[in-house]
Amino acid sequence: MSNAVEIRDLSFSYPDSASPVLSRANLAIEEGSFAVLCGPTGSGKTTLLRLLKPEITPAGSISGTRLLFDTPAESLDLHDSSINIAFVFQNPENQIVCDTVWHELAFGLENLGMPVDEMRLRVAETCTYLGIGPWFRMRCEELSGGQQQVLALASALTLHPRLLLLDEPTSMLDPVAEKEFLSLLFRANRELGTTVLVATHRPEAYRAYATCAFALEGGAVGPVPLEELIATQRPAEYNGTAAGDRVVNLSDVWFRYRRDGAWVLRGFDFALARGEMRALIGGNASGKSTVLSLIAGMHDPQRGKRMNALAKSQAYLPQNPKALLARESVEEELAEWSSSCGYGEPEIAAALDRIGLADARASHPYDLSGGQQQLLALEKLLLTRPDLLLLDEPTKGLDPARVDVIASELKAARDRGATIVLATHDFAFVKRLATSVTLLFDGQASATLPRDEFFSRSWLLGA
Amino acid sequence: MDRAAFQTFHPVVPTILFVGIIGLSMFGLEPRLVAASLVFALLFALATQGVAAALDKLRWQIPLLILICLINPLFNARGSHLLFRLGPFLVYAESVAYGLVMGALLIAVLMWIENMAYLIGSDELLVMGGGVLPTVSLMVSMTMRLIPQLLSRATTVRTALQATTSARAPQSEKRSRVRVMDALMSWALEDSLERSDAMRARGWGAVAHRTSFEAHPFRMRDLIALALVAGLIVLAVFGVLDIVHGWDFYPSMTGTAPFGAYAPAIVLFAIPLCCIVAEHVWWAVHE
Repeated sequence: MSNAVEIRDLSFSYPDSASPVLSRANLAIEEGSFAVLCGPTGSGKTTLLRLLKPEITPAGSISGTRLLFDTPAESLDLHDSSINIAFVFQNPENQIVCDTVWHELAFGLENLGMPVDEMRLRVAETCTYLGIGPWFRMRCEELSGGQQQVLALASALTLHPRLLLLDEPTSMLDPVAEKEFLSLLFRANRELGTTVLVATHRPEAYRAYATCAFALEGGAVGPVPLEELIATQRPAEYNGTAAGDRVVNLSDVWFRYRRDGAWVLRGFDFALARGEMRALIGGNASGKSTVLSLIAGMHDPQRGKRMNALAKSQAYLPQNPKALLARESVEEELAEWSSSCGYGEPEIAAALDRIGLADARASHPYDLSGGQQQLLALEKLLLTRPDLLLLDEPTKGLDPARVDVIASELKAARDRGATIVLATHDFAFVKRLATSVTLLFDGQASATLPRDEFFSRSWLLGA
Repeated sequence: MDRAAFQTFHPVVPTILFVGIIGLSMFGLEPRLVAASLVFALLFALATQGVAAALDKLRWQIPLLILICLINPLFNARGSHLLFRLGPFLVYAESVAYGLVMGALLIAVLMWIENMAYLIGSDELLVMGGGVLPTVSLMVSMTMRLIPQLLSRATTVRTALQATTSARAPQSEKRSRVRVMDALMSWALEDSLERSDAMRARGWGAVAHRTSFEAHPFRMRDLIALALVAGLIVLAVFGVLDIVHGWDFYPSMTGTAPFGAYAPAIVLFAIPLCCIVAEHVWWAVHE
């Protein structure tokens, strides 16, 4: 078997950066493997993947050898590269180009000027293979995030690539969607023989599928035994429940987004005591975000009562932190509400230290990674010292180190007396930090229990 | 949804049919033609969209009709049959009729345009444009995706700020709009960088001429239907020219065109409804 990817003594550094991202890295991946490249955020995984796809290789100084199916990367032209090497990006929303599923599937083929009958065959086969035929006439907007990511995989597979590069493909997905995506990826690897190289900071999810694993650290790539692809467990950091007065109450709340829409909440009851940290869990579209928006007063219940004693001092972190960022620099971002909330330069400097952005204070918020943006948005809210924090998926897509920062920030907020509600799929985080759990199903709170009781009674999450 | 009767044709067929109908309705300023056009437009709307939706549209169209009926005789005192005198205005039957026909024509055209928009969405337009201009059709497709995304993000940004009451930020409407715009612009620009990478990664620009995936191939049946529709439109154009030239509102309403001149146009107006009826009959027989 020949190698699909072979890197010898590869060094790379960005134009304005003193420290190289890669220094004399070596890596060989056999054809047909399912390779996992792990390493913390910012270690250069994305850069390494992009160096293997000539048309999106970043600008910078490159030295060393990059062989793709024994051809040097430099001599691959656009046509060869698009046929042989496919790339799936992290964000499902941004990599989808067209408005309808059929157009999206055909996009790459159209770019290559492929004859219509060949396109029809490939699109039909790919849809049938992945079982996405029913979506064919749908708008991409109508698909969930997980389905959009499967569509991105399908669009890549229509090109019949020999090598599939994926950059954190499941970090924006919930656990169920992640498993579905990975099983399809696994089939493409084993049944179609496509070589897979996936970069991730959560390698444990890939353990069942991977044939080899590598870690990127300090600019060098080294092999990792597959048995070591496990999540680090954190102990629970809170015990006992809060017993303050009731600050939020929803009783018999019914809600739908449109008059002719389906009910999202149907007779939902929810009571929150001061100082609690409540986790809202439940499947996709079970109404977790809707509950947050109703508590925050962004929507009104159609029926039922809402009480929120902390409505004057609440803060809301949307799923996408970009919705909160609108300034020219990290520093200005944190200073936006300094005059109305009465904090100043020392608090901002301390906040920057806490989230590890002290060196990036002059950077534009959009130059930060997704995880850094998440921390920045949260910190921006915390500086206003809210009494009620409403967080929508605060740990989505974050690596363990960033999750630790979020955890300590939330702990500090709670010590200060804040009440917190978080909607999340991250059960490890719930186990670690929440005081109580509400499980949403069919528009109702199927269970509201203290954390330990919830996990001891849960059949799925108990272990 | 009663689009099915037309979905079995390549979208270019209903498009040409409706463009023909709209054009003929626009220029056929003659009572019988306008009446036929209006009746079939209304029946088609009723058959496809139901009574409630069709009446809902008439709600603002009827006042328009009345307004035009009233205004024309006041400013256009021509004709031979004096109806009555209103202060300094002489109101003639002919000018009332003219206003009525004009208003009805306007409503008929509006209804046909709405009927067409109902049948032919952006997807159908793309199918037609794709073969000739693949890049333009891609741009339309991208725009169709990005505009709704931008609008929903605007809501997200605005509500996220309003929900964060702890910021105690002064909520001036103008400043908050500027801020939402700022946030949306940087967000969209950032996304576009990633999207352009995704496009290049899938071979954007690899060949000079992109091809176009046809979700709806053009078949012989479509060609025949198109030829029939086009032939009928040509006949109807001659007929309508004949009718309009031979018709006078003033001084008294007279026409010289024979009945045969009306036939092609009326058949054309009736085709959409007939397709729907034929579909209903098919199901009635086959169920």
